[in-house]
Formats: sequence, C-alpha cells, structure tokens
Amino acid sequence: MQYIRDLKKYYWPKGPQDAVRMLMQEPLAEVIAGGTELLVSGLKGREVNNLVDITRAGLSYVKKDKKYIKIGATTTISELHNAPLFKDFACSILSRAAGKFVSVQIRNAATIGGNLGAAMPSSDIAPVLMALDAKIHVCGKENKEFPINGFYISKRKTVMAHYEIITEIEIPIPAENGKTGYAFEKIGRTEMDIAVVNGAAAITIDGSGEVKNARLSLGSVAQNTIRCLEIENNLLGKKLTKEIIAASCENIAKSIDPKTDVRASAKYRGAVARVIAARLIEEAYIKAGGKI
Amino acid sequence: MKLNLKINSENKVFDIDVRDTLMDVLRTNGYKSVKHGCETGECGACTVIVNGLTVNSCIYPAVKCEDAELITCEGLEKDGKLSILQEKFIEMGAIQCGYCTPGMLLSAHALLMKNPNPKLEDVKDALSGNFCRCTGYKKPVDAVMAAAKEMKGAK
Repeated sequence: MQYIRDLKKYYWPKGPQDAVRMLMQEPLAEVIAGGTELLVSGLKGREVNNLVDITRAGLSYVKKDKKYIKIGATTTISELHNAPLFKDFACSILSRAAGKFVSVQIRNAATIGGNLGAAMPSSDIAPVLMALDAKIHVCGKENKEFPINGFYISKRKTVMAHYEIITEIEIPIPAENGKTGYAFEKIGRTEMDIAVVNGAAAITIDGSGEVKNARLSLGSVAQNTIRCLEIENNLLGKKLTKEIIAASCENIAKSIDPKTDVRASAKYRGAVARVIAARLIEEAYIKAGGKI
Repeated sequence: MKLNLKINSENKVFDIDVRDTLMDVLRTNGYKSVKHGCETGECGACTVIVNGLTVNSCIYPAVKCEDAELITCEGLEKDGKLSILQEKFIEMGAIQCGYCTPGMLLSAHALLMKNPNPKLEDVKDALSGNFCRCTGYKKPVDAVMAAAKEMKGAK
C-alpha cells in the first residue's frame, strides 16, 4: 500500500524556518508530523508531491518558566500523558485527556501540533487547551500567535496559511490570587473511540465562593471545538448551586450546532452536551474549593 | 532509496520507495509476523516497536525509520527459545485465531520493558490498541500479568 500515490520527495527540515521555506518553495507540499491523521484521512482527494516532516526540527519539548508552560508542536501525545509536569498541573486535565487519546500506538506517534492543525471537532486536546487559555505560536513569513479560541475557521480549517506551521503551544500559569479548579470529560461509544461529546472547564473563585472567571469548552458539537461564552457569563459573580448550574446550561442549544454522523445523532449530542457542560462546571467549581 | 535500520538487533539495508509504509517494507522483507489488518491505525495487528515505542506500521512512513531500532515479534524469541511472555500466552490459552497475537505480544513487551511491575489497568491500557476479533481479551491480559510476575521472579 502506497500511502500517497503522488509522493515524490520527503524532506527533513532542521528547524521551523527551514520547514516553512520548503513548504513555500515546493509546489504541492504538505507538512507531516506523526502522520496518524494525514495517512488515514488528511489527504483525501489532494495531490501531494512533497512531504515536509517536522519531527526532527527541534520542536519536541515541554518547558516551564514562571509564567508559562511551553509545549513544542511535535511533542507526542504519549509525552504529554507521561510528563510529570502535567500530572500535577491544572487537576491533571491535559494528562488525562492525553491518556484517553485512542490507543498507545497512536499516542506514540500523534503530536499535539498535529492534533490542533488537523482541526477536527472531536479533538480531546483542543477543549483542554481552551480551558487552559492556551496560545498557539505559528511560524510563517513571520512569527504569529493566536489564542486557541480564534484559531479555527471550520472543520479541518485553521487560520494558518498552507505554508505556515505550528511551533509551540503556550499555557499561562494562573496567578495565585483566587483558586482555580479544572475538569475534563469525554463521552464516547467505547473507551478508545473518538468523542461523541467532550469538554473541559476552568473556574476561578474568590474566598466567598463567587465565580471570578470561567472558561467552558465543548468538542464534537460544532464544526470545531468551541468556547461556551454565554454559559461562562451566566456563572460570573455567582456562588454556584446545582440549580444555578442547570439554569446556566438551559439554553446550550443556542451555543452549539451538533451534526449527525455514524457515532451519534445531532439530537443525542445536544442532550449530552447539556449534561456534560453542567458536570464540568460542577466538578471544576468543587475542585476550586467551592461548596455545592 | 536506501533505508538503514536495525531490526531485532541486526543491521539491515532495504531498498524502499518513498511511498512505502513501514508495514509493507517489513512484510516484503520477510517479517511476516507484522500483520496486514485495517490499514487505518485502528486494529493494531501491524504493531511494531520503533525505538522502544509501539506504533501502527500501516500508517507509519517507512522513511521515518532511518537509523531506528525496531523490534518485531520475530525478535522476541532468543536462540530458538520463546520469551516468557510468549510462553505465558500459550500456557494460558491467550490465542484463538492468532492474527492479533504478534501485535498484542509487542504491545505487552513494550509495556514490560518500561514498567516491569504493571497494574491490571496498565496492562489493559497497553493492549487497548490491539483488537481481537475472536474477542478474547481476558486471557491475554492475564497472560501479561503472569509473565510480569514470572519475569520478576527470574531476576
């Protein structure tokens, strides 16, 4: 089986600028990292003569300074799952989401940048990074950065130009004032299937239990992973109860646009999304130290 | 193009096409334990160990393996003697049709290389990417647990 019929050359750039130069120079060139998306479905119907493999371009790392955690784009999902840093950080939601990611074989090859760049609505990583308020660093003719919430345009489409590549994901480390709790949830047909609905939440409260900041993200319920801004706003300034959470999620249908596919109907996804949203908020609030 | 790599501790040079998957290169060069299953990275029958980590060779470009160290199921036996893990699969009946077995053995082998003392959950997670369509999962999991125990005793 030849995985790309028209493939002629395979390039190994030494760094991100090198990769961008190759992508700009070569006609019909495509970037590849782990290849788990690209070789399965990422190239349907497109002619590709050149692959630019960025897994030896110095982009595999997890670093931490006082303000940020920085993850290189070609860091594998296994490396995220196993990194001691993420076992303790943010109620371990990134580590847990990485651990729910398909199978060991896929996690060993698939990369965080590849997962984001593939722009599939079912990504387990994207909702977590939205809850963590991550930024995506991109290299092209110049270096750019995008908040992950503004990174997606539609299914399989991001704001990046064809020749641009993701280089780094930057996660801010929250300041100590106020306590923040986090939650991640994934509902699938089976443990290793891709999500029917997934999501993540981050909730910061003050000493009295009032919500000071909230981020709620859901996946598989729209063209891309989304932030539920209306629900987030409903929570601000309130001490949460089960009733307040349920009321906040009442109109979730307005925020989402679920589709029917082989895994679930749009109706089922809508119903599950409301339950998941409420569960995420409750769990994150309790993890932050709130009482319900 | 030429591909230099080490398979089961032997240096090899293969003549490959840039479009070949690792699975095809291995099978056409005699490593028939690498099974051709789903071609979409779901079933795990084509699992091989590359630099200590399992991958689905059906969706892995062969060119990625330049200078890599691979282990296939052929490499588990030493001097004509099966590994403890293989013996346990046989002893405990963890094989039905056998098509998924090489992949399962390699997933288990990779786990035990890193974690010689796995919990039940670790074994289940390690085998989660290997589908058995005869639907026998309990016995392979038991066999890996038994192998871990015996290997620890042997040390």
